Amino acid sequence: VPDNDAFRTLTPISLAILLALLEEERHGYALMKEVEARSEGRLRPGTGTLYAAVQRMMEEGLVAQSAREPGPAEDARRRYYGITAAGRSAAESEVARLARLVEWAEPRLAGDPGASR
Amino acid sequence: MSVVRVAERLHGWLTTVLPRRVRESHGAAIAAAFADAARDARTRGGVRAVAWLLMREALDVARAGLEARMGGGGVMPERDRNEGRGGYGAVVVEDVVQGVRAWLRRPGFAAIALVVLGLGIGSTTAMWTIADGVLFRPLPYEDPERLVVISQTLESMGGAKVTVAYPNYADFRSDATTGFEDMAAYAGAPAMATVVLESGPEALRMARVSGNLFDLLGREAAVGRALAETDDSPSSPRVVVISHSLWQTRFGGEAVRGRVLRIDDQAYEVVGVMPARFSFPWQELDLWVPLRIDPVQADRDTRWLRVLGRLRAGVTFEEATRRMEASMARLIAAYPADNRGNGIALDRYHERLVSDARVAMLVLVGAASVLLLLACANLANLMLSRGATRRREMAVRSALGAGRARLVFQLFAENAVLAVAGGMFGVLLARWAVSLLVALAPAALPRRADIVLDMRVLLFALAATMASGVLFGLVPAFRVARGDAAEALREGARGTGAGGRHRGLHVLVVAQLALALVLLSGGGLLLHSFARLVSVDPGFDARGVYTLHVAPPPSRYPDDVSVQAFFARLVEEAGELPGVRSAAATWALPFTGMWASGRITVEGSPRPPGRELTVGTIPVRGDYFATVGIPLRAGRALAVTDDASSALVVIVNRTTANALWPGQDAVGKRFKRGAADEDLPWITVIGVVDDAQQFGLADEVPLAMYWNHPQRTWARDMYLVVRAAGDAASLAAPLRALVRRLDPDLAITDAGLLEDRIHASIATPRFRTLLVATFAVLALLLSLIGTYGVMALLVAERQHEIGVRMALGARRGRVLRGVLADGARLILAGLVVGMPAALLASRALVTLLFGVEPRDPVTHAVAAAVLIIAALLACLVPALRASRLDPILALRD
Repeated sequence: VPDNDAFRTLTPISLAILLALLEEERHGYALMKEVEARSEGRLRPGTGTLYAAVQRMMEEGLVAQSAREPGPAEDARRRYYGITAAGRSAAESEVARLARLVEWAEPRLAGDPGASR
Repeated sequence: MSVVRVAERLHGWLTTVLPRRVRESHGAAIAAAFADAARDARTRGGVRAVAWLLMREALDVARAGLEARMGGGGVMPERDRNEGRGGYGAVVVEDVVQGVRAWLRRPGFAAIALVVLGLGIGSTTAMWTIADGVLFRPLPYEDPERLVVISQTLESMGGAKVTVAYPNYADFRSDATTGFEDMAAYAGAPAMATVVLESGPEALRMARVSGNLFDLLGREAAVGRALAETDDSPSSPRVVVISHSLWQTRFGGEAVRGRVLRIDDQAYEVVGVMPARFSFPWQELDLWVPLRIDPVQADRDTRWLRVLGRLRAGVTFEEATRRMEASMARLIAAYPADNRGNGIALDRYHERLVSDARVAMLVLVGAASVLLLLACANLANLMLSRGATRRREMAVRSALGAGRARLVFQLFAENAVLAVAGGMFGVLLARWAVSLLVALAPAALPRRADIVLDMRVLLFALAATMASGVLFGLVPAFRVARGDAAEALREGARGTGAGGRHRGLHVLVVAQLALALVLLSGGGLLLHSFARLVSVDPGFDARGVYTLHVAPPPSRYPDDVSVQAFFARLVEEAGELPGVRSAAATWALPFTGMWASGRITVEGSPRPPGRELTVGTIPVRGDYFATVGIPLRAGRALAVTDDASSALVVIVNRTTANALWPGQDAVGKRFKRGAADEDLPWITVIGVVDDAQQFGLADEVPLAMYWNHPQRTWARDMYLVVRAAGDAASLAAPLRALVRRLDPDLAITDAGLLEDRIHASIATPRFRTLLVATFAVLALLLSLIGTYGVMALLVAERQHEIGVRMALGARRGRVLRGVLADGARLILAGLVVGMPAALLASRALVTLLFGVEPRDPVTHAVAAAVLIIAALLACLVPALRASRLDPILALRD
């Protein structure tokens, strides 16, 4: 992981897109639904938000368009997107950051005075 | 097309706001994703779910597009974005609430903007609505474009269009070659019929129409039946059709079919009620009765019918004209004695109905549209100048980290709130104005029943004003977004020369001044013309004269003797009432439209047949000239001794004397009625009176001769004319009582002050003058607000500079002059643009003006002077403020 990326904070929508692509390549609407499900309905990107983010993340090398073609029963205009190695590591570092945050915050929120800094 | 396809199409249109690189690389994929979502929504929740999806998408795409273009930050407030909560719906609501609060903090500004919006939308919508109803809406008849008015023309009256003689109408109708499906006829003017109701005798507006008229129009009765062809014969039973409003107001909407009405002392059976708002051929009719003409007695030289024809499908207006001309030529050949010198003329019915109102309506619409344009410019001006003062606020917020998109979005919400409020105010104003104008409109305005508030016009006016407000309101935010925030901060702190930065504002002020000048000149011309009109001497003294009209019915006054006796008693007893100086009667009271004329032949100078002069005949009784104040210039007045048994004598007006006997004394000269070869008695001129207006102040005085009533006994209805010693209006009650005493069943068909008749005759020009003048005053006010706003802004921004100058020794007078000079440059530019526009626009008024040329230099100069003075005054306030600056304070700020 390059040094400068250590400081980058992904926007909620970017992280959600990366996480939605961890298991499989997805097309636009599947991506929108997965983001919504994963965020428990808190993020409901429309096509504008989603594709503006996808475009930005492609330029940053976090996601890439897949070579997978839509099947014969599918809408021919569909495109599939996958996560890149850089995307995976950006997601990893963001999740690790969140994990440390959770680790720090949970005992405090639970009111445990003995928790160390 | 399925719902999903429609939604896809709309969505495709929406996505054009996304940045190009997103569209280029993902266009098809975006469409596919939306199609997936839309199909999904439809299976889950049908059309409504698709609609919701589309709305969410619209907001999402707009937000994404804005964010991508603005870069950095987002539309959502920072905390919302980081918490990922609520979505943009909540943000929109919050921004709207913020917007309302922002306006409430500046109530003065918001009020001005609201009024400007409201005036623009209200006036334009109202005028367009009225014009649409009067000029453009299809007439409420079957295939109205095929309705044509057929008139005869008279060579002896310079080819003027006149009504049609019954036998000619009957011949036209039975002529299969005319290209008309059918023709119908009605008597030339609405009659005031006396109807005895439970509450007593009442005068109602009645039309006498041929039975087939309703079929020809394609209109049926609302209750019962309309008149039919079979009602028209003199032997068929007398029937009447009544108006919806009469049915409602006098019969309580109860069953009226079969009821018998006594109309002018004849029993008529009610057979039907016409639908509400049906009133052909005149407005506000109550009764329709059949013509019941006996063809045997009908006279081919008495032209009294208006004829309406329905063109056969496929026959053009031009072809029908040619065919009717041929038909008329055959009638002239067949009946040369009656028809020589006659012609035929056709008019499209709609054209004939509205042609008088057209120019005035279009001028009013034009004036209102200019006002809308001005309101748009004014609003843009307001928004820009307010934006300029808010640049610092924007810059500060931007520097503190507010995303540019966020700023733009918030300003947008703020302006949208104002636009919606102003729009609603405008709609209210328009509705109110339409009903007010329809109520105030002169009786001459045609098709008043067809005026309804027009949604298309309303939407256009709303869109225009809102667009100008919202667009120009966004300018300051975009300026900040363009990255001159740092500069704005610096300038805001110091305020250096404002010159070039406000060019947009200057252009708008110049435009407003120019538009205001156009309306001021137009309003000025109409006012000038109206002043000329009211200063016309009618030729009689209307002050203190009361008039009332009665028509003794033939049933109780069967012969000339009884009619003569009635009017002799009426005039005599009216003259003896307390408070009456003198009483008289006339058949053709000025400004009532009553008129009869006939051909005459002057002794010693016969003219070829069909080219005789036509002179008006006015039967009078009592001391008519003294009573209405028409001075006798030569000879003697009419006397009671000029009766049926004595020689025929008349008094002519000066115009007649000059036309018939130029350069000679008319008194003692003789003429006879009809053509030179007709064997009729000679008539002697015994006196000459001054000219009196007969039809209207702007009209030419007609050739007229006054007869003593006993020598012109065909006049069965008369106006009683009474000059009061004191207040004429107080004579109304005693005169009414007098008529009731003489004949309890006789209705007064028309009553009022003679002065009011003159006022009523100029109601139409007064109405349009008032409207255009109102528009002009509003335009002036708006342009002054605009000028004041810009000058105030200029001074506020140059405070620092002015402070420096004053500290360096500039005198207050010099500062004042400097600011005024800036304002004067704007005003001058407004005049340079506005003057040619005003001169050009005034040409549209040419047919509406009386005694004033459209290019009248005095009027245009006065309009310009008013604008210059008012605009300079608007500049004076900020200029004075500048000259009173305390240099120390100005520099410290």
